[in-house]
Amino acid sequence: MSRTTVNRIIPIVMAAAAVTLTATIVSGIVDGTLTGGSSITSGQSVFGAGASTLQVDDDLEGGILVVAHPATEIRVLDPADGSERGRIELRREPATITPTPGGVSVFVTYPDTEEIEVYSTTEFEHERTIAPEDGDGRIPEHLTFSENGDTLFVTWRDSDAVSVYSHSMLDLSFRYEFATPEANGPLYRNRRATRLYRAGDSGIEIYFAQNGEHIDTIRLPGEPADGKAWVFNARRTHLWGTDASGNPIVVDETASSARGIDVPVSADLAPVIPADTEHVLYVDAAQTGLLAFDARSGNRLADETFSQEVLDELGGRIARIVDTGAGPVWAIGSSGTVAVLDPATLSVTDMHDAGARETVMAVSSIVQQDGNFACF
Amino acid sequence: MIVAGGISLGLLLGYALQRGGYCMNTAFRSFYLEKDRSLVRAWALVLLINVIGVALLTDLGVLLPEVAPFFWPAAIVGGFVFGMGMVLAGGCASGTYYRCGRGMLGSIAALVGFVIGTALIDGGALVEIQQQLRGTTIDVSGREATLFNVLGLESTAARWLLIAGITIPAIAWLSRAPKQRFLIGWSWRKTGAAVGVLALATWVISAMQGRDFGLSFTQPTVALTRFLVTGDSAGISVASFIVIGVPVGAFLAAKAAGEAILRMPDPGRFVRQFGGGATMGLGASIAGGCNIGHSITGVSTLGITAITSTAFIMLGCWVMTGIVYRSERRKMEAEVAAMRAAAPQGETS
Repeated sequence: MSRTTVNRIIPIVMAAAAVTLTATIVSGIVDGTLTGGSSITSGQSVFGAGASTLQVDDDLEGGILVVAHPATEIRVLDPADGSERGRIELRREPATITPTPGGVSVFVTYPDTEEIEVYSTTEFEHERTIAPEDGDGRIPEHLTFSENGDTLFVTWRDSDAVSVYSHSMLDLSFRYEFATPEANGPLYRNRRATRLYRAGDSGIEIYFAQNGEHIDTIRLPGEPADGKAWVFNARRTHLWGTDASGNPIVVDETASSARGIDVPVSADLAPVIPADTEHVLYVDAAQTGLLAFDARSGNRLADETFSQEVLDELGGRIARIVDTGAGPVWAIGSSGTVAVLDPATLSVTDMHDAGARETVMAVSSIVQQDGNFACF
Repeated sequence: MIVAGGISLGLLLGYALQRGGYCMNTAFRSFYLEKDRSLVRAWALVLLINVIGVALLTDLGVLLPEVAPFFWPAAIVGGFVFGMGMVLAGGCASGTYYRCGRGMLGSIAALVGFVIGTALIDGGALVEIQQQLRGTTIDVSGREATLFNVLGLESTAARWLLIAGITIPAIAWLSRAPKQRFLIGWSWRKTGAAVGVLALATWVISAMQGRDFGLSFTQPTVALTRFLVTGDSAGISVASFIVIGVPVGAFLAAKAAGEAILRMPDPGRFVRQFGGGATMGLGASIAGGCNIGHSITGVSTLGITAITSTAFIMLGCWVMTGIVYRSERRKMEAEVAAMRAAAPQGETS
């Protein structure tokens, strides 16, 4: 190839590379991957009246894990249409189900043993039984993985201790343990798992994840709802929960402050942060609709009270809400029917029967992904 | 799309590195031996673009930058070892990659050494060294180890005040730069702007993959090696595709300039570059990053681990440069003395 030809081709290759790079970034902006948040518009119930369709990301492999009657199995449902992908037979009724961050396994704890059973969410089979080192016969109460799954934090029933384990390929190795005499609820971590949050009688207690040192207490504006779930927003800077009176509370990690929002919600149901949005969804106090708040500012964005037709299908009230991780949010009714919701508008786009019934005791979504790498 | 974006970015980066001769070994060495600060200015411009850009993207909610814990013993030891290694290797991590593309076989030896060095530490036989040195950390009240948090700057206004306090003097310094004396490829302005924009673009396309980190060479090298050797794709990210593209882009730039020629150094230098590469790999894996991961990406977040590591990369570079410089001077003086002794009397007077 002559020098002249080479000199003509190389600028074209570089221009093509520049165009491809620009197109990649533009596509990220267009499809919302790069936006930190999106606006929400007040939704309209459209079920039965020209329902809009919601794009489900079919490339995401995963499912919705539902523990319902009979409570000795986990049903793995397809987030796209609610169809059953498989069932994981459990040995008995579980206490908690905790998917691994990669989404290919689920850790199951039981109310009467220290052992953790691990099941595959792709083969639906038992993979391993783990007796946590230094568990000393205590019964795990709540499991929390770090973002890339390399650390597992375990709280124990009837104990204020938090045990920290290194996790690799379903192997746990004990690192250290620390006491949290001020707190008693489930443990939550910020995005980098540099801080751990646990609710207590005085508010939210903060611990340094490297050594368990108690850093601070964030006083809550209202009485905390004992034992109720909290949730961090997608950027892991704001922790959302509910007080005992059924009002949302938002804790701003960056400012170490908490404030309450005087809007009654169902204190029995945990808030949900849909993937890729900065909204927090709550079920309203009557359990007949949803409320959306901006995950950072706490501003109330939109309400959606389901139509009577939808409520009838749901069995009269919403029993659970869950983010599918694949686009839609599911509101599972007491009848076991699922209302599929567009998280941006809160409008109902589809309904199907998940067979969950009244006895839904745990629900969680998984998205299978390649190893979530750590740069350090 | 991410794969295409990553490889495209790597091609453009390799092209820019080659055209600008952007090597931080050369930049840091210039503090010690030379008076030309062009590459240092290019680096400062890269940081200027990225400190402001990363802060802006963070405030817009696009990024939540990943920041290394302040494992200061690892940052100090690893940085110092890396700095010494890059002098022996004849180039930093990015410099080694782009020189491979232009056909410098000594740099290919250094890259092989770099791969081995990182493999020894990251999950290899010497992993204990890394674990011991990273075992001691200084807590910044549980927050990420950045200058912002060390200084307790939590509000947006306070953080931007610090950024202004850093960037305005840098802008003033860069604007007073004298005319560049030695110019073979691109000027420092063009090089710094190109590398800076591409480094910032790495943050953006990485964020699309859920990776809140910018340009890096060490972790992607480790991940690529692991994938090629064991088939384990964990850790393969957009940064891996970038490091594939860099030597290709550098080759194209060198080819266009007629500089793409296979060059073999003398055997002693070849072995030294291999050893230098391995030393760089050890240092980078201990410190958690190289001259790119720490000195561009980490410093852009004002991470104190990255800042510390960069300071010790510089120190290691200067110490080894001094050793090599004195050794070469002694060798040269001995050769001159030998020549004088061998020459007939009268010719040397």
